[in-house]
Amino acid sequence: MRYALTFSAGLIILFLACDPESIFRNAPVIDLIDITPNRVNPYDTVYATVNATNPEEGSLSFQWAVSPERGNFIDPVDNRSVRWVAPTAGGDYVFKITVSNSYKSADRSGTVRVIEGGDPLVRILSPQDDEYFTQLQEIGITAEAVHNNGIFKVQFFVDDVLINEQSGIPSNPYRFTFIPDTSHLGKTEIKMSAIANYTFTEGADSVQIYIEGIVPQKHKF
Amino acid sequence: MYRFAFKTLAFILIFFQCNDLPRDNVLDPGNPNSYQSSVILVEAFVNTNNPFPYNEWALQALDSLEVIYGSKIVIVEYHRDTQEFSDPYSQPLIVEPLYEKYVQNSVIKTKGVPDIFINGYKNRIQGASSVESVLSRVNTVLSSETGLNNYFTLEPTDIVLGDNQLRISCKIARLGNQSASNLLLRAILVKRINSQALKRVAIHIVKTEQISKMEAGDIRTIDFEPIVISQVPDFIILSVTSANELVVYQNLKADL
Repeated sequence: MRYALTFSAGLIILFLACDPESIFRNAPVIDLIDITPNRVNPYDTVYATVNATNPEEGSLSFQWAVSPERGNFIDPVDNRSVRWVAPTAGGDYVFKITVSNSYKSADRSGTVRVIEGGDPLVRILSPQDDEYFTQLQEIGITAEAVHNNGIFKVQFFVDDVLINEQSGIPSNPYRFTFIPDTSHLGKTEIKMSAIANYTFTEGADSVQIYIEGIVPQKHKF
Repeated sequence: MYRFAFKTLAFILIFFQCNDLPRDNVLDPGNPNSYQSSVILVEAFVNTNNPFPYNEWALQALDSLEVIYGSKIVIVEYHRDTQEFSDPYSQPLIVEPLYEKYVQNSVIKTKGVPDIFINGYKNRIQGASSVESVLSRVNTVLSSETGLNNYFTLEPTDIVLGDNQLRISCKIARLGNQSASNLLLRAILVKRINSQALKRVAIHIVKTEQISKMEAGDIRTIDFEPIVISQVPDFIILSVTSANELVVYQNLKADL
Protein backbone atom coordinates (compact mmCIF):
# COMPACT_ATOMS: atom_id res chain seq x y z
CA MET A 1 0.00 0.00 0.00
CA ARG A 2 2.82 2.32 0.93
CA TYR A 3 4.62 1.52 -2.33
CA ALA A 4 1.50 2.29 -4.38
CA LEU A 5 1.18 5.68 -2.74
CA THR A 6 4.83 6.51 -3.33
CA PHE A 7 4.55 5.49 -6.98
CA SER A 8 1.42 7.59 -7.50
CA ALA A 9 3.05 10.61 -5.86
CA GLY A 10 6.06 10.17 -8.20
CA LEU A 11 3.81 10.12 -11.23
CA ILE A 12 2.05 13.30 -10.14
CA ILE A 13 5.36 15.12 -9.59
CA LEU A 14 6.61 14.01 -13.02
CA PHE A 15 3.38 15.14 -14.67
CA LEU A 16 3.59 18.56 -13.06
CA ALA A 17 7.27 18.91 -13.96
CA CYS A 18 6.44 18.29 -17.63
CA ASP A 19 4.39 21.50 -17.95
CA PRO A 20 1.09 19.75 -18.33
CA GLU A 21 -0.49 22.82 -19.82
CA SER A 22 1.70 22.72 -22.87
CA ILE A 23 0.87 19.13 -23.60
CA PHE A 24 -2.64 20.07 -24.44
CA ARG A 25 -1.73 23.28 -26.34
CA ASN A 26 -1.26 23.69 -30.11
CA ALA A 27 1.73 24.99 -32.05
CA PRO A 28 1.37 27.94 -34.43
CA VAL A 29 0.20 27.07 -37.90
CA ILE A 30 2.40 28.33 -40.76
CA ASP A 31 0.16 28.92 -43.74
CA LEU A 32 2.69 30.31 -46.14
CA ILE A 33 6.34 31.23 -46.45
CA ASP A 34 6.96 33.54 -49.36
CA ILE A 35 10.51 34.20 -50.55
CA THR A 36 10.72 36.55 -53.51
CA PRO A 37 12.59 36.31 -55.77
CA ASN A 38 13.95 32.85 -55.22
CA ARG A 39 16.64 33.14 -57.87
CA VAL A 40 18.89 36.17 -57.55
CA ASN A 41 22.25 37.60 -58.39
CA PRO A 42 24.78 38.63 -55.78
CA TYR A 43 23.75 41.79 -53.89
CA ASP A 44 20.10 41.44 -54.93
CA THR A 45 17.54 41.86 -52.15
CA VAL A 46 15.32 38.99 -51.23
CA TYR A 47 11.97 39.57 -49.44
CA ALA A 48 10.82 36.85 -47.13
CA THR A 49 7.52 36.83 -45.29
CA VAL A 50 5.55 34.30 -43.37
CA ASN A 51 1.82 33.97 -42.77
CA ALA A 52 1.07 32.12 -39.59
CA THR A 53 -1.89 31.84 -37.23
CA ASN A 54 -1.91 31.17 -33.56
CA PRO A 55 -4.51 28.67 -32.36
CA GLU A 56 -3.79 29.72 -28.78
CA GLU A 57 -4.21 32.98 -26.98
CA GLY A 58 -1.36 35.47 -27.17
CA SER A 59 1.06 36.72 -29.74
CA LEU A 60 3.49 34.98 -32.07
CA SER A 61 7.21 35.46 -32.24
CA PHE A 62 9.42 34.93 -35.32
CA GLN A 63 13.01 33.99 -35.93
CA TRP A 64 14.61 33.91 -39.37
CA ALA A 65 17.88 32.16 -40.23
CA VAL A 66 19.72 31.37 -43.43
CA SER A 67 22.08 28.51 -44.11
CA PRO A 68 24.92 28.70 -45.00
CA GLU A 69 25.28 31.87 -43.00
CA ARG A 70 26.17 34.33 -45.75
CA GLY A 71 24.60 37.47 -47.06
CA ASN A 72 23.09 40.06 -44.75
CA PHE A 73 19.65 40.56 -43.20
CA ILE A 74 18.87 44.25 -43.36
CA ASP A 75 15.86 43.97 -41.04
CA PRO A 76 15.65 42.45 -37.59
CA VAL A 77 15.30 38.71 -37.95
CA ASP A 78 12.48 38.50 -35.43
CA ASN A 79 9.81 40.11 -37.61
CA ARG A 80 7.16 38.54 -39.75
CA SER A 81 9.00 39.85 -42.82
CA VAL A 82 12.70 40.34 -43.51
CA ARG A 83 14.92 41.56 -46.31
CA TRP A 84 18.18 39.76 -47.08
CA VAL A 85 20.98 40.87 -49.38
CA ALA A 86 22.39 37.98 -51.37
CA PRO A 87 26.11 37.21 -50.97
CA THR A 88 28.69 37.15 -53.76
CA ALA A 89 29.14 33.39 -53.47
CA GLY A 90 26.62 31.53 -55.57
CA GLY A 91 24.76 28.48 -54.40
CA ASP A 92 21.51 27.41 -52.75
CA TYR A 93 20.65 29.19 -49.50
CA VAL A 94 18.01 27.74 -47.20
CA PHE A 95 15.76 30.20 -45.34
CA LYS A 96 14.25 28.86 -42.16
CA ILE A 97 11.48 30.60 -40.25
CA THR A 98 10.63 29.50 -36.74
CA VAL A 99 7.26 30.73 -35.40
CA SER A 100 6.53 30.33 -31.71
CA ASN A 101 3.66 30.98 -29.35
CA SER A 102 3.83 30.76 -25.60
CA TYR A 103 3.82 26.99 -25.69
CA LYS A 104 5.21 25.59 -28.89
CA SER A 105 6.95 26.43 -32.14
CA ALA A 106 6.78 25.43 -35.80
CA ASP A 107 9.21 25.96 -38.62
CA ARG A 108 9.33 25.87 -42.36
CA SER A 109 12.07 26.34 -44.98
CA GLY A 110 12.45 27.77 -48.44
CA THR A 111 15.40 28.02 -50.80
CA VAL A 112 16.94 30.94 -52.65
CA ARG A 113 19.36 30.25 -55.44
CA VAL A 114 22.12 32.84 -55.82
CA ILE A 115 23.51 32.83 -59.29
CA GLU A 116 27.17 33.75 -59.32
CA GLY A 117 28.35 35.48 -62.47
CA GLY A 118 32.00 34.45 -62.20
CA ASP A 119 33.63 31.90 -64.46
CA PRO A 120 34.22 28.37 -63.25
CA LEU A 121 37.70 27.76 -61.92
CA VAL A 122 39.45 25.09 -63.95
CA ARG A 123 42.83 23.54 -63.21
CA ILE A 124 44.55 20.80 -65.17
CA LEU A 125 46.34 18.59 -62.66
CA SER A 126 48.08 16.38 -65.22
CA PRO A 127 49.85 16.46 -67.58
CA GLN A 128 52.00 19.41 -66.65
CA ASP A 129 53.47 22.14 -68.82
CA ASP A 130 56.41 21.06 -70.98
CA GLU A 131 55.97 17.33 -70.36
CA TYR A 132 57.06 15.08 -73.20
CA PHE A 133 55.08 12.17 -74.61
CA THR A 134 55.45 9.98 -77.63
CA GLN A 135 52.81 9.47 -80.25
CA LEU A 136 50.55 6.46 -79.60
CA GLN A 137 51.24 6.79 -75.89
CA GLU A 138 48.01 7.07 -73.95
CA ILE A 139 47.96 10.37 -72.08
CA GLY A 140 45.74 10.67 -69.03
CA ILE A 141 44.28 14.12 -68.46
CA THR A 142 43.07 14.95 -64.97
CA ALA A 143 41.44 18.27 -64.16
CA GLU A 144 39.33 20.02 -61.57
CA ALA A 145 36.47 22.38 -62.35
CA VAL A 146 34.69 24.32 -59.64
CA HIS A 147 31.77 26.76 -59.58
CA ASN A 148 29.48 27.57 -56.69
CA ASN A 149 26.45 26.88 -58.84
CA GLY A 150 27.89 23.64 -60.11
CA ILE A 151 29.28 22.66 -63.49
CA PHE A 152 27.00 22.12 -66.44
CA LYS A 153 29.63 20.40 -68.58
CA VAL A 154 33.35 20.15 -69.21
CA GLN A 155 35.02 19.97 -72.58
CA PHE A 156 38.46 18.69 -73.49
CA PHE A 157 40.33 20.16 -76.47
CA VAL A 158 43.61 19.32 -78.15
CA ASP A 159 44.94 22.20 -80.25
CA ASP A 160 41.46 23.77 -80.14
CA VAL A 161 39.81 20.64 -81.51
CA LEU A 162 37.08 19.27 -79.26
CA ILE A 163 38.05 15.72 -78.36
CA ASN A 164 35.53 14.85 -75.67
CA GLU A 165 32.98 16.33 -73.31
CA GLN A 166 31.26 15.26 -70.15
CA SER A 167 28.39 16.49 -67.98
CA GLY A 168 29.26 18.12 -64.71
CA ILE A 169 29.80 15.77 -61.81
CA PRO A 170 29.36 16.57 -58.13
CA SER A 171 32.91 15.69 -57.18
CA ASN A 172 36.23 16.32 -58.94
CA PRO A 173 38.37 15.34 -60.73
CA TYR A 174 37.39 14.92 -64.36
CA ARG A 175 39.38 12.39 -66.36
CA PHE A 176 39.96 11.99 -70.06
CA THR A 177 42.42 9.98 -72.10
CA PHE A 178 43.98 10.90 -75.37
CA ILE A 179 46.24 9.04 -77.78
CA PRO A 180 48.21 11.45 -79.96
CA ASP A 181 49.03 10.70 -83.56
CA THR A 182 51.36 12.21 -86.14
CA SER A 183 49.13 15.29 -86.50
CA HIS A 184 50.00 16.28 -82.93
CA LEU A 185 53.80 16.17 -83.19
CA GLY A 186 55.64 19.00 -81.49
CA LYS A 187 54.12 21.53 -79.13
CA THR A 188 50.52 20.64 -78.42
CA GLU A 189 47.96 22.48 -76.34
CA ILE A 190 45.73 20.54 -74.00
CA LYS A 191 42.77 22.64 -72.89
CA MET A 192 39.94 21.91 -70.55
CA SER A 193 36.98 24.25 -70.33
CA ALA A 194 34.06 24.15 -67.93
CA ILE A 195 30.64 25.75 -68.28
CA ALA A 196 28.76 26.76 -65.16
CA ASN A 197 25.16 25.87 -64.44
CA TYR A 198 22.51 28.62 -65.02
CA THR A 199 24.87 31.39 -66.16
CA PHE A 200 26.75 29.27 -68.70
CA THR A 201 29.87 31.28 -68.01
CA GLU A 202 32.98 29.50 -69.12
CA GLY A 203 36.36 28.99 -67.46
CA ALA A 204 39.35 27.18 -68.91
CA ASP A 205 42.87 26.04 -68.22
CA SER A 206 45.48 24.82 -70.66
CA VAL A 207 48.94 23.25 -70.69
CA GLN A 208 51.52 22.94 -73.42
CA ILE A 209 53.00 19.49 -73.89
CA TYR A 210 55.29 18.00 -76.49
CA ILE A 211 54.45 14.99 -78.61
CA GLU A 212 57.47 13.24 -80.07
CA GLY A 213 57.35 11.00 -83.11
CA ILE A 214 58.54 7.41 -82.97
CA VAL A 215 58.69 4.48 -85.30
CA PRO A 216 56.89 2.07 -83.06
CA GLN A 217 57.55 -1.58 -82.51
CA LYS A 218 54.03 -2.31 -83.68
CA HIS A 219 52.94 -0.02 -86.44
CA LYS A 220 49.64 1.71 -85.62
CA PHE A 221 49.34 4.55 -88.11
CA MET B 1 135.42 14.58 -49.53
CA TYR B 2 133.00 17.36 -48.64
CA ARG B 3 131.33 16.92 -51.99
CA PHE B 4 130.81 13.19 -51.32
CA ALA B 5 129.43 13.87 -47.87
CA PHE B 6 127.07 16.51 -49.25
CA LYS B 7 125.82 14.17 -51.99
CA THR B 8 125.25 11.37 -49.49
CA LEU B 9 123.38 13.67 -47.15
CA ALA B 10 121.24 15.00 -50.02
CA PHE B 11 120.43 11.46 -51.14
CA ILE B 12 119.41 10.44 -47.63
CA LEU B 13 117.20 13.52 -47.30
CA ILE B 14 115.55 12.90 -50.67
CA PHE B 15 115.06 9.23 -49.82
CA PHE B 16 113.23 10.01 -46.59
CA GLN B 17 111.31 12.78 -48.25
CA CYS B 18 110.09 10.26 -50.88
CA ASN B 19 108.52 8.10 -48.18
CA ASP B 20 106.34 11.01 -47.21
CA LEU B 21 105.27 12.04 -50.69
CA PRO B 22 101.80 13.48 -50.30
CA ARG B 23 99.16 11.57 -52.27
CA ASP B 24 97.18 14.61 -53.21
CA ASN B 25 96.85 14.00 -56.93
CA VAL B 26 93.12 13.69 -57.59
CA LEU B 27 93.77 11.13 -60.33
CA ASP B 28 95.91 8.88 -58.10
CA PRO B 29 93.87 5.86 -56.96
CA GLY B 30 95.98 5.81 -53.81
CA ASN B 31 94.54 9.17 -52.85
CA PRO B 32 91.29 8.65 -50.93
CA ASN B 33 90.05 11.95 -52.32
CA SER B 34 90.75 10.99 -55.91
CA TYR B 35 88.14 11.34 -58.63
CA GLN B 36 87.93 11.62 -62.37
CA SER B 37 85.72 13.61 -64.72
CA SER B 38 82.71 11.71 -65.97
CA VAL B 39 82.52 10.66 -69.57
CA ILE B 40 78.86 10.13 -70.41
CA LEU B 41 77.64 7.33 -72.64
CA VAL B 42 74.80 8.26 -74.98
CA GLU B 43 73.21 5.16 -76.51
CA ALA B 44 70.83 5.87 -79.36
CA PHE B 45 68.57 3.03 -80.49
CA VAL B 46 67.55 3.99 -84.01
CA ASN B 47 66.19 2.79 -87.31
CA THR B 48 67.32 4.84 -90.29
CA ASN B 49 65.52 2.82 -92.92
CA ASN B 50 61.99 4.18 -92.72
CA PRO B 51 60.12 7.08 -94.30
CA PHE B 52 59.82 9.07 -91.09
CA PRO B 53 62.42 11.71 -90.17
CA TYR B 54 62.40 11.13 -86.41
CA ASN B 55 65.56 9.04 -86.18
CA GLU B 56 67.54 11.37 -88.39
CA TRP B 57 66.42 14.32 -86.25
CA ALA B 58 67.66 12.54 -83.16
CA LEU B 59 71.01 11.72 -84.73
CA GLN B 60 71.45 15.30 -85.94
CA ALA B 61 70.78 16.51 -82.42
CA LEU B 62 73.45 14.13 -81.10
CA ASP B 63 75.90 15.49 -83.70
CA SER B 64 75.33 18.98 -82.32
CA LEU B 65 75.74 17.78 -78.75
CA GLU B 66 79.00 16.06 -79.64
CA VAL B 67 80.32 19.41 -80.83
CA ILE B 68 79.16 21.08 -77.61
CA TYR B 69 80.40 18.47 -75.15
CA GLY B 70 83.43 17.10 -77.02
CA SER B 71 85.25 14.36 -75.12
CA LYS B 72 82.86 14.59 -72.17
CA ILE B 73 80.44 12.33 -74.01
CA VAL B 74 80.66 9.27 -76.23
CA ILE B 75 77.82 8.40 -78.59
CA VAL B 76 76.88 5.08 -80.11
CA GLU B 77 74.01 4.14 -82.46
CA TYR B 78 72.37 0.76 -82.09
CA HIS B 79 70.36 0.07 -85.21
CA ARG B 80 67.18 -1.92 -84.71
CA ASP B 81 64.55 -3.55 -86.87
CA THR B 82 61.01 -2.42 -86.21
CA GLN B 83 57.96 -4.44 -87.10
CA GLU B 84 57.69 -2.88 -90.53
CA PHE B 85 61.13 -1.52 -91.25
CA SER B 86 64.30 -3.56 -91.12
CA ASP B 87 67.55 -1.71 -90.80
CA PRO B 88 70.56 -3.06 -92.72
CA TYR B 89 72.80 -2.21 -89.76
CA SER B 90 70.73 -3.93 -87.12
CA GLN B 91 72.49 -6.35 -84.79
CA PRO B 92 69.55 -8.03 -83.09
CA LEU B 93 71.60 -10.54 -81.18
CA ILE B 94 73.68 -7.93 -79.43
CA VAL B 95 71.27 -4.97 -79.37
CA GLU B 96 67.86 -6.45 -78.54
CA PRO B 97 68.79 -7.95 -75.14
CA LEU B 98 70.19 -4.60 -74.04
CA TYR B 99 67.17 -2.63 -75.36
CA GLU B 100 64.77 -5.08 -73.75
CA LYS B 101 66.59 -4.71 -70.45
CA TYR B 102 66.49 -0.91 -70.58
CA VAL B 103 62.82 -0.69 -71.61
CA GLN B 104 61.60 -3.22 -69.09
CA ASN B 105 63.20 -1.22 -66.31
CA SER B 106 61.84 2.12 -67.54
CA VAL B 107 58.63 3.70 -66.29
CA ILE B 108 57.15 3.72 -69.79
CA LYS B 109 57.42 0.38 -71.54
CA THR B 110 56.67 1.60 -75.04
CA LYS B 111 59.19 0.36 -77.56
CA GLY B 112 59.96 2.55 -80.52
CA VAL B 113 62.81 4.46 -82.06
CA PRO B 114 64.53 6.85 -81.72
CA ASP B 115 65.11 5.92 -78.11
CA ILE B 116 68.09 7.46 -76.37
CA PHE B 117 69.50 6.29 -73.05
CA ILE B 118 72.10 8.28 -71.18
CA ASN B 119 74.41 6.35 -68.86
CA GLY B 120 71.97 3.46 -68.62
CA TYR B 121 68.24 3.04 -68.34
CA LYS B 122 67.42 5.90 -65.98
CA ASN B 123 67.76 8.82 -68.37
CA ARG B 124 65.59 8.02 -71.36
CA ILE B 125 64.59 10.32 -74.18
CA GLN B 126 62.26 8.69 -76.63
CA GLY B 127 60.94 10.12 -79.86
CA ALA B 128 61.63 13.29 -81.81
CA SER B 129 59.48 16.06 -83.18
CA SER B 130 62.43 18.15 -84.38
CA VAL B 131 66.19 18.33 -84.03
CA GLU B 132 65.74 21.07 -81.46
CA SER B 133 63.40 19.08 -79.25
CA VAL B 134 65.87 16.19 -78.94
CA LEU B 135 68.79 18.54 -78.50
CA SER B 136 67.03 20.37 -75.71
CA ARG B 137 65.97 17.23 -73.86
CA VAL B 138 69.30 15.42 -74.13
CA ASN B 139 71.18 18.59 -73.26
CA THR B 140 69.17 18.94 -70.05
CA VAL B 141 70.37 15.51 -68.92
CA LEU B 142 73.94 15.95 -70.12
CA SER B 143 74.37 19.29 -68.43
CA SER B 144 73.49 17.76 -65.08
CA GLU B 145 75.54 14.57 -65.58
CA THR B 146 78.79 15.94 -66.97
CA GLY B 147 79.68 18.02 -63.93
CA LEU B 148 79.65 15.08 -61.54
CA ASN B 149 82.76 13.51 -60.04
CA ASN B 150 83.43 9.97 -61.16
CA TYR B 151 85.14 7.33 -59.09
CA PHE B 152 86.34 5.04 -61.87
CA THR B 153 89.11 5.54 -64.32
CA LEU B 154 89.67 3.47 -67.46
CA GLU B 155 92.73 3.12 -69.59
CA PRO B 156 93.22 0.79 -72.56
CA THR B 157 96.53 -0.99 -72.09
CA ASP B 158 96.53 -3.00 -75.28
CA ILE B 159 94.36 -3.02 -78.38
CA VAL B 160 95.77 -5.39 -80.97
CA LEU B 161 94.22 -6.11 -84.32
CA GLY B 162 95.36 -9.09 -86.41
CA ASP B 163 94.15 -12.25 -88.15
CA ASN B 164 90.52 -11.07 -88.00
CA GLN B 165 90.87 -10.94 -84.27
CA LEU B 166 90.79 -8.05 -81.88
CA ARG B 167 92.43 -8.29 -78.47
CA ILE B 168 91.60 -5.67 -75.87
CA SER B 169 93.20 -5.19 -72.48
CA CYS B 170 92.03 -2.47 -70.20
CA LYS B 171 93.11 -1.09 -66.87
CA ILE B 172 90.39 -0.11 -64.44
CA ALA B 173 90.96 1.74 -61.18
CA ARG B 174 88.60 2.50 -58.34
CA LEU B 175 89.08 6.06 -57.14
CA GLY B 176 87.83 7.77 -54.00
CA ASN B 177 87.46 6.10 -50.64
CA GLN B 178 84.65 3.61 -51.19
CA SER B 179 84.59 0.13 -52.63
CA ALA B 180 82.35 -0.88 -55.54
CA SER B 181 80.80 -4.26 -56.27
CA ASN B 182 79.03 -6.16 -59.02
CA LEU B 183 80.64 -4.50 -61.98
CA LEU B 184 81.13 -5.36 -65.58
CA LEU B 185 83.50 -4.10 -68.22
CA ARG B 186 81.98 -3.69 -71.66
CA ALA B 187 83.55 -2.91 -75.01
CA ILE B 188 81.39 -1.58 -77.85
CA LEU B 189 83.00 -1.81 -81.27
CA VAL B 190 81.88 1.12 -83.35
CA LYS B 191 82.13 1.67 -87.10
CA ARG B 192 81.85 4.92 -89.02
CA ILE B 193 79.80 3.91 -92.06
CA ASN B 194 79.31 7.39 -93.52
CA SER B 195 79.32 10.99 -92.42
CA GLN B 196 75.55 11.45 -92.38
CA ALA B 197 73.31 9.32 -90.18
CA LEU B 198 75.72 6.44 -89.72
CA LYS B 199 78.67 8.01 -87.97
CA ARG B 200 78.88 5.65 -85.04
CA VAL B 201 77.18 2.33 -85.62
CA ALA B 202 77.70 -0.42 -83.06
CA ILE B 203 78.92 -3.56 -84.79
CA HIS B 204 79.72 -5.68 -81.78
CA ILE B 205 79.54 -5.69 -77.98
CA VAL B 206 81.73 -7.80 -75.71
CA LYS B 207 81.65 -8.08 -71.97
CA THR B 208 83.99 -9.36 -69.31
CA GLU B 209 83.12 -11.64 -66.44
CA GLN B 210 81.51 -9.92 -63.51
CA ILE B 211 83.89 -8.07 -61.21
CA SER B 212 82.53 -8.91 -57.80
CA LYS B 213 84.31 -6.20 -55.82
CA MET B 214 86.86 -3.42 -56.14
CA GLU B 215 88.24 -1.80 -53.04
CA ALA B 216 89.05 1.90 -53.05
CA GLY B 217 92.44 2.33 -54.72
CA ASP B 218 92.29 -1.03 -56.55
CA ILE B 219 93.82 -1.12 -60.02
CA ARG B 220 93.21 -4.11 -62.27
CA THR B 221 94.15 -5.03 -65.77
CA ILE B 222 91.41 -6.97 -67.48
CA ASP B 223 91.69 -8.86 -70.75
CA PHE B 224 88.64 -9.32 -72.96
CA GLU B 225 88.25 -12.62 -74.78
CA PRO B 226 89.68 -12.29 -78.31
CA ILE B 227 86.96 -10.99 -80.66
CA VAL B 228 86.56 -12.41 -84.14
CA ILE B 229 85.68 -9.48 -86.36
CA SER B 230 84.42 -9.28 -89.91
CA GLN B 231 84.92 -5.54 -90.20
CA VAL B 232 87.42 -3.31 -88.52
CA PRO B 233 85.89 -0.86 -86.05
CA ASP B 234 86.93 2.77 -86.09
CA PHE B 235 86.83 3.11 -82.33
CA ILE B 236 85.95 1.23 -79.20
CA ILE B 237 83.88 2.46 -76.28
CA LEU B 238 84.98 0.95 -72.99
CA SER B 239 82.46 1.18 -70.17
CA VAL B 240 82.23 0.20 -66.53
CA THR B 241 78.65 -0.80 -65.84
CA SER B 242 76.67 -2.49 -63.15
CA ALA B 243 76.66 -6.29 -63.51
CA ASN B 244 73.15 -6.15 -64.98
CA GLU B 245 74.27 -3.41 -67.41
CA LEU B 246 71.45 -1.11 -66.35
CA VAL B 247 73.69 1.59 -64.95
CA VAL B 248 76.77 2.91 -66.73
CA TYR B 249 79.39 4.37 -64.42
CA GLN B 250 82.30 5.49 -66.57
CA ASN B 251 83.32 5.40 -70.22
CA LEU B 252 86.28 5.85 -72.46
CA LYS B 253 86.59 6.22 -76.20
CA ALA B 254 89.64 4.48 -77.67
CA ASP B 255 90.47 5.12 -81.30
CA LEU B 256 91.99 2.34 -83.34
